[in-house]
Amino acid sequence: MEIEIKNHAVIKLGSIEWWITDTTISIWIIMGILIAFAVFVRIKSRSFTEVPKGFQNAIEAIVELFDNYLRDTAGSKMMFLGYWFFTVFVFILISNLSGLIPGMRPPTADYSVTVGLALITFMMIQVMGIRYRKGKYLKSFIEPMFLFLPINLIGELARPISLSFRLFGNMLAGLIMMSLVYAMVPVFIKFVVPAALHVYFDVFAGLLQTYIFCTLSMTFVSGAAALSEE
Amino acid sequence: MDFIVVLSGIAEELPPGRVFGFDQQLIIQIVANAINVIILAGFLAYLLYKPVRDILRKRTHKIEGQLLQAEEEMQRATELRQQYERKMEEVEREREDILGEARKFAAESSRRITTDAKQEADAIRERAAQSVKVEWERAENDMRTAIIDVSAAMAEKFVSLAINKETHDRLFNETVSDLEGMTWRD
Repeated sequence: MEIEIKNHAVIKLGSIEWWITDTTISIWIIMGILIAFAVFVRIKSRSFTEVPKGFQNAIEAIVELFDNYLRDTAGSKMMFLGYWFFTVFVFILISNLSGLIPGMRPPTADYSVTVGLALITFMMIQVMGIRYRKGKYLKSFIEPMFLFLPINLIGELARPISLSFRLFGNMLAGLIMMSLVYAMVPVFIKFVVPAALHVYFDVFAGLLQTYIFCTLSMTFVSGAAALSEE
Repeated sequence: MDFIVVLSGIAEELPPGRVFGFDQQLIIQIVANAINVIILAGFLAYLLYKPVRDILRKRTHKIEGQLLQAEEEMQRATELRQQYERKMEEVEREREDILGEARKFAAESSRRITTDAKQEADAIRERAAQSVKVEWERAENDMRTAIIDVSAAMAEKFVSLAINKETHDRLFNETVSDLEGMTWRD
């Protein structure tokens, strides 16, 4: 298992170089799988019946479960953001679990992925704050007095940083630990000990970090809109 | 396996791998990855999340409508039952009234019939008593007449055998005078 992110190609656009890394390829693979699955669901949805059963039941249960989770965490007025948060949840979860597939590096163990998602959350926080609270939101940066502006700004900027580093740190730590374990254990138990650790680092930590990232994002966004005060 | 795609300019060799770095490449990677996730969000929303959510919403609305309809029908049924119960109560009351009237009429009729029968019986008994009395008197008279006839016949035979003409005349005269005396007294 490689800890570092390898580059497989470079696309040059003038003076800008875009590296095609392990992460990029992993993301494309995950995107391909998820889009193929979504197309499959779309085709199957044409034959969905009034009384769900089997596959339809499972899909409906997943969407309904996520809807309830979003409603409980962010409130019913934030349900229109379900499309985005559903994608983030599924993407992070599959990315974290992709560490179970040999040769695949979890995209979430790359800071550019986690900070990208965290920055989108950060932008959503600002947009929702201004949309729902307008001047009051901007005024909240100088509360309780103007001197607190730098502290409030740092607090605000700390959100995407903490969000992104939490997920990145956990997944990278898991990757490093697994690499060390694979390097240390003798060949004859290479399929026993790592398997148990994969369950912890990839499945348990992966699920937990997905849940934490999404819950915090939803809470920050709904908090900025101050819907809890209504 | 590694390759270089050159769209503009030439990259001499692949950059070395790394774990983390704050540089221009990080920003490019952030933008590229964010665009990838946004594209994925578009696909998942259009192909998976929205259709399934629409199905769930439609079903929810349908079930809510059915529940509402069931509630309205239940209310209607309750009202109908109440109406039916009210009507049944009215019918029961009417039945009781009719029965009461019938009982009263029957009692009145019974009393009237009994009274009429009693009166008729009294009249019959009275008529019978009178008839008995008349018959009794008639029988008494007949018996008296018969006794008189027998007595007269016996007396006549006895007299014809025992007395002569003078005695006969004397007795006849005495009897006639007795009868006259009795007649005058009565």
